[in-house]
Amino acid sequence: MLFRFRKFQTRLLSFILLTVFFIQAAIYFSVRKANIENAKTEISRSLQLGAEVFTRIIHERTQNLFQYARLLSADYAFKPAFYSGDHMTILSAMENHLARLVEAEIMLLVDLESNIIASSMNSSEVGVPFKWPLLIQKAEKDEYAEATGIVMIQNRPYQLIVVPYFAPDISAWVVLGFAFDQGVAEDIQTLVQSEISFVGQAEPGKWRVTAGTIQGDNLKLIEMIDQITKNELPKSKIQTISLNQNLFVSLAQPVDENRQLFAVLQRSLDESLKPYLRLESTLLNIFLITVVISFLISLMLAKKVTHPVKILTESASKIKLGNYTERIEINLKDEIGQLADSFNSMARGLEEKEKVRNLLGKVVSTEIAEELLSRDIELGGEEKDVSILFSDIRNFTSICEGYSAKQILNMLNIYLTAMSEAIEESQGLIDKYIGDAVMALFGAPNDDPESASHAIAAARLMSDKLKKLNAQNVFGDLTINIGIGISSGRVVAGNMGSPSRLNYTVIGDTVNLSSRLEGLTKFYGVDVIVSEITQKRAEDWVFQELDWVKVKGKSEPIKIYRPLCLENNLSSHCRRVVDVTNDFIHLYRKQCWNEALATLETLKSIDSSNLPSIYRQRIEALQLRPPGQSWDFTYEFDFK
Amino acid sequence: MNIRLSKLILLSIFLQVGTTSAAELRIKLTKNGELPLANAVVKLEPRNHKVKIVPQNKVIDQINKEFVPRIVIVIQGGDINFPNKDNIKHHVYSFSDAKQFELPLYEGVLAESVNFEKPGVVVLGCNIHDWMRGYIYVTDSPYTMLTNREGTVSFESLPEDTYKLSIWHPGLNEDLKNMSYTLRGEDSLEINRDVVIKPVVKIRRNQNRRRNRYD
Ligand SMILES: [Cu+2]
Repeated sequence: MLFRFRKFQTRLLSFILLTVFFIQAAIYFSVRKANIENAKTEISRSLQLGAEVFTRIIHERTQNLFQYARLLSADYAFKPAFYSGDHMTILSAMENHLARLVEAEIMLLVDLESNIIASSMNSSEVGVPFKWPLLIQKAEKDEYAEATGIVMIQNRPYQLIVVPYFAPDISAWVVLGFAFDQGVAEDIQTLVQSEISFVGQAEPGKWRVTAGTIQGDNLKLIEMIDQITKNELPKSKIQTISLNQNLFVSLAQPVDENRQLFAVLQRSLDESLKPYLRLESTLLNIFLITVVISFLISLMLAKKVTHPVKILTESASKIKLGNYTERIEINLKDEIGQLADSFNSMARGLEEKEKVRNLLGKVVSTEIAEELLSRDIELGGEEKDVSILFSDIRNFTSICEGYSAKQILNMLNIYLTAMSEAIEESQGLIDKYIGDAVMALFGAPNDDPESASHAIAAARLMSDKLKKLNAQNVFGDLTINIGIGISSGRVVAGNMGSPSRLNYTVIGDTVNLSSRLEGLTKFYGVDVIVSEITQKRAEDWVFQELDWVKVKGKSEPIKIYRPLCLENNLSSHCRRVVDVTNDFIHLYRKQCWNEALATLETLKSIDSSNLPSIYRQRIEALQLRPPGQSWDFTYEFDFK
Repeated sequence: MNIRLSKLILLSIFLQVGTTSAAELRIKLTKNGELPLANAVVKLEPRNHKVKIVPQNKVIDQINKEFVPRIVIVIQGGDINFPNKDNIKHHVYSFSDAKQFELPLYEGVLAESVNFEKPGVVVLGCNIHDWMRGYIYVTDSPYTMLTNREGTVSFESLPEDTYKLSIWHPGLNEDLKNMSYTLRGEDSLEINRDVVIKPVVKIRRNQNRRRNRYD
């Protein structure tokens, strides 16, 4: 249980922490991403600007060469040297010009058949074909007969320009050039504040870095140019590549239209990101602080939530063990407080129910209490065939005189405990105690086809127990006598009353009849009287017919009987009582008064009840006023 | 059309009248398949008979910083005078094999003419003005004429003979020298010929100095 709570706490904690973590991480990474994007954009912009500057510088340098070459081509002083045909003179004049021109490094004079007249690079090169005839062909197509282009000389890229040599018509070609060397790279670097590398085509499709301000791993640069020239990078010529373990935003700018040479301008991304790094470290600190704070808050929250739940659980397990007096005190107004209230009500309910259960067990038999508790208790009842037993202490009110209430209650408790035992042992249900009177049900709530027999057995047992109690002087000098009435029939059985206060009981004529029969016992001087229906149902018993009576409130007269003994335990005395009684009743009803009176004498000797004296008086009265032929043998009681 | 040249040709025809019967040769030149080629030099060299050469003097003016006319035919041994009609000086020169000379900065009409002995093309330049270009065709044959605006040239009263035809023009890329035609009696031959002329290479002149230098 404890582990599970810890788990719940952990879950709550980790949920909050994870949420905070992810939000923070999302912020951190989006800021980081924005920074990098921003830096990239800025670098790209400055690289593009740098590329423009670079292009302008090269363009201007090229234009300067053109202008100088044009001057040379119109230089009158050079013409005699040119027409002299003296190679050394021509070369010397050329070198003179080259010395004037800082921006040019090489100079050649090529004849109209593309053969070298003189070259500043190799003084002995004469009459050798010019290596780049395409450049001259390009010039021939130009309206001013001028051209420029990139060539590789000994793996070094050169910008060459060609202008015609007029003397005065086109007589030769003047070629001037400068190299894209380390010096150029460094100049550009200081100007545009970016790293620069020149990547030239050594052989068709084979690129190499010819000069550059970044030393080291050049493979990525070459790869980039390769992709651009193969049109694998159609959209953007800006790429982020890694050189010497550093990320560089790189822009490849073709130097010439034929894309023989690329200038790659680069700026370190890490370098540009340095200002952002501070922001990032601040963010990281905020992140850590937030995590710690949210950890503490969620820990408190988790404790606050789980503490009452813990209490609830502990109390619930106590209740599970049977401690229904357990209550929770949580002073919260929220759902948990409501839960605690509900829990308390539940515990209270359980406690009450347990009390009821205990009480019920005391009031009714445990079996019946369980039976009642296990069912859904509802109002309303069902018709049932039952036998109802009614017992009462004879002359209880007069007996009570002279005794204190406590003494009476004490006696009553002893008496009722014994009676209850007798009834429950005989499968009866105590319906209620009415003062000293006991009403018991047989055949309800559980059906019992032998309810009549059982009720009679209970009555017998009650009498026996009472005899024992009297013999033991349990009631002091008092001798308690009881009368018992039993009747059988259909009743309505069920829970009656209001929903808050239910009472399982039966109602019907049978109940009243039992009570009335009990009231007759004193008159007939017998301890038990049963109705005719009970007598018929209890086939294992032997009865003495007592009378044919009309009970008040009943139109039909009924026969009443006195149970004597079980049939399988029939004594000769009993047999004789039954036989004599039957003889007598036969004579009585035939109005043979004298014979009846004689039989009555016999009965008197064997029956200690009031029966002989009752009938003697009745016959004496009937002899005076004969009943006639319409006599229904009944005797009408007008009490109770 | 040069009047002097026509007179010269007329003269030579006159000289030969009566000796032999006369033929006619008419040549029409077009450039690059379309337009008539004017100012092209057409030269006929008779294989068998000799024609007496009479040197003639010519004049090439410099007007408005151009040689006028641009192309001049001069018969071997003739002189050319270069009068400067501009109010600035010119410096005319040539480095051509046929004649190398220079007339350092001068104004007005020069007293001295330049003599052209060696047949061939002399390219004239001006040291001051790059674009100024003139051509002198020094010929050893009196049958040398320039095409008119229609690109035609007509030789009349040609003696019966076989003639070698040469065509020259500053923009001509090919060497058109070895064509022969035999003319008899009253022959009247008409030759149409198309030649390839290179576009003229532009020379910068009077540029707007104030233009954006980054254009
Ligand atoms: Cu001039």
